[in-house]
Amino acid sequence: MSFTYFLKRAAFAALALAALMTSAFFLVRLTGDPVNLYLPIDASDAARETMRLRLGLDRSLLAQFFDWAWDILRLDFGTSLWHNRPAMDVVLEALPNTLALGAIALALAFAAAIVMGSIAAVNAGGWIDRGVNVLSQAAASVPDFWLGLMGVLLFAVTFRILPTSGFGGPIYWVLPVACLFARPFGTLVQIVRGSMIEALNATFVRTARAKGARDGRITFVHALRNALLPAVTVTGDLAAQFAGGGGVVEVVFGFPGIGKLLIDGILKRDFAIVQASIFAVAVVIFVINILVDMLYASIDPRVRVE
Amino acid sequence: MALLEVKDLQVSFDTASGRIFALNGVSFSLERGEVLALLGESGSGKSVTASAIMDLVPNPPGAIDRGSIRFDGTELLKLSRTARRDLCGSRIALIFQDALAALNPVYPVGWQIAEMYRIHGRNPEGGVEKAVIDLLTAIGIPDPERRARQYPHEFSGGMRQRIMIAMAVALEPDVIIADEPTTALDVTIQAQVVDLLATIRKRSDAGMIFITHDLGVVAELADRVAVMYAGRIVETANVFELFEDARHPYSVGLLASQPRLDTDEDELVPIPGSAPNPVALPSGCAFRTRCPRAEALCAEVIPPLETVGPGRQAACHFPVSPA
Repeated sequence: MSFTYFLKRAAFAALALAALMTSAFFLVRLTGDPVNLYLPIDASDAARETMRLRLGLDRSLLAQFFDWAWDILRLDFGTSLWHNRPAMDVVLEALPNTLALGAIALALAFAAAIVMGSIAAVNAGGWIDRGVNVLSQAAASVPDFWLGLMGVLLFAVTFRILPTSGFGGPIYWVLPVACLFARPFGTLVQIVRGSMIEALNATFVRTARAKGARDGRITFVHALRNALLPAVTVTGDLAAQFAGGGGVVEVVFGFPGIGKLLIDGILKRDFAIVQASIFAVAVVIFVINILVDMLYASIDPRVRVE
Repeated sequence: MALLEVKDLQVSFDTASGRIFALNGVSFSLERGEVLALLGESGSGKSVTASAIMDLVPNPPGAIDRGSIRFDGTELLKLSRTARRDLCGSRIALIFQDALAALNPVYPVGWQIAEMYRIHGRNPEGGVEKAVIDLLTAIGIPDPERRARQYPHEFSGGMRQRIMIAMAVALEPDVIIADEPTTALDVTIQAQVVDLLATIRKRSDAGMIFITHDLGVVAELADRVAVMYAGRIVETANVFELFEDARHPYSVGLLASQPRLDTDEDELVPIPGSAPNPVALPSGCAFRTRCPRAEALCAEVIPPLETVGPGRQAACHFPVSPA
């Protein structure tokens, strides 16, 4: 992948980011006036006015926008109302948790799906294939919040071996990872199975047989590498989704990630937090897309960009 | 003892429209240093014959119902799967028709040739890498060190077919099966590939089975020809004998339907009708519905492959008389 190609991608990403941040600026202000939320109901008009003045909410929307845009260009994302700290600092504390959670869940799902999908494809039509099919369909279809709540009920309430929620040692990661794992696993198994069946029927697999290659080599050296591309594409999409936070899973388990931060930020009309979160997530997604492209090119020489 | 002897081979496939008999008792033999052409139209069973020898008949839906394939004194159909795998590539090699589809798109061509040595645990003198470069040089790939690191899609059709050939001959097999290796290529490139195969056969004493429907290539390369029709061999003959003096009406029709430079006849005579539906082959001789010489007997009795002259056989009740 050439440097000019990277620059071109970065330029497009910058344009998209500008449009995204502009929409974020206006949309977040539709949630309402933070002053009404933060001051007590019986606060005086003078107190309200002072707070508005302090937050710069007294000026026209357009004036606020240009000020804000200038700050963003200097990577100043303002101060969080709720945390009373620079918003980006708060975001950068939550983001690694989300990225780690997503990466662990996806890596496990990808690895498990490659193995299960390949086994199903090699035994296509047999009872192993049918078993894998039922399992993966179930995993792909089960709602993550239901899985989360059932997990809490079973392992935290009944067996008391896992914490219900919170954050700390590895034990706090088990249920969130398990919940995030299910859907990608189910989807990826189906995709790997399909593309593996196709690859195993390709002429180059016949060539490998004619060369005298054993079954293991045929499946994992010749067919699998050709079958990986669709799985990598979908994993990239899922990674981009997960970068925005484990959503419901983070809320259910009180997991301090970017998803929970963003939802709390919207509820608390913490404009700076919302904007900084969106910015950080967008940059992460851009990086993920570049990584997926690079991975693609390293797997399939035909897509290498000159 | 023949190097490779196929006897009464029957291969069938389960399909939605019933059981199809792709091979109905195919018998032929191949000697060391000999090029045998399997000639026939598509669907006549040429490629299935190659698949059966290479243990590439997909099972299911395909199955080898009966027959024997003896290679160098060993009955292949009685060997274990792994034992047959070990023979494939090292002692019996296959060159595929469409090299673009037959080469793995995600590995460099040098790697794919080197894999032959790796799979069979061979350590050529000077190392695998040198052996690969030497092979590429021998088959006429310029700049072999650089080209070995390139991928199949970076080569022209003719170059890719040369790479397929290099891979097949890497371990100096005893039998080389070439399944229509020139069909997907331009005419000029076809000639180059045929030349390359001719060179290889001169250099080694391997037996070669050349599967084709191209009479020109047969004339250039083959010693002997086995003509196939509807899953049977209908005539075998020395290549000159076949061209001068074919006995089976199908062979005669096939020769008359293709343009030739060695005769003054400028009219092409097509064989009437089309190849029979393999699900419902005609009774008796499968060719009788298209045959100008067919009589009542042809519908009742399948003509066996019988000796009609020294070293030649035909399967016909009413063979064309010697010229």
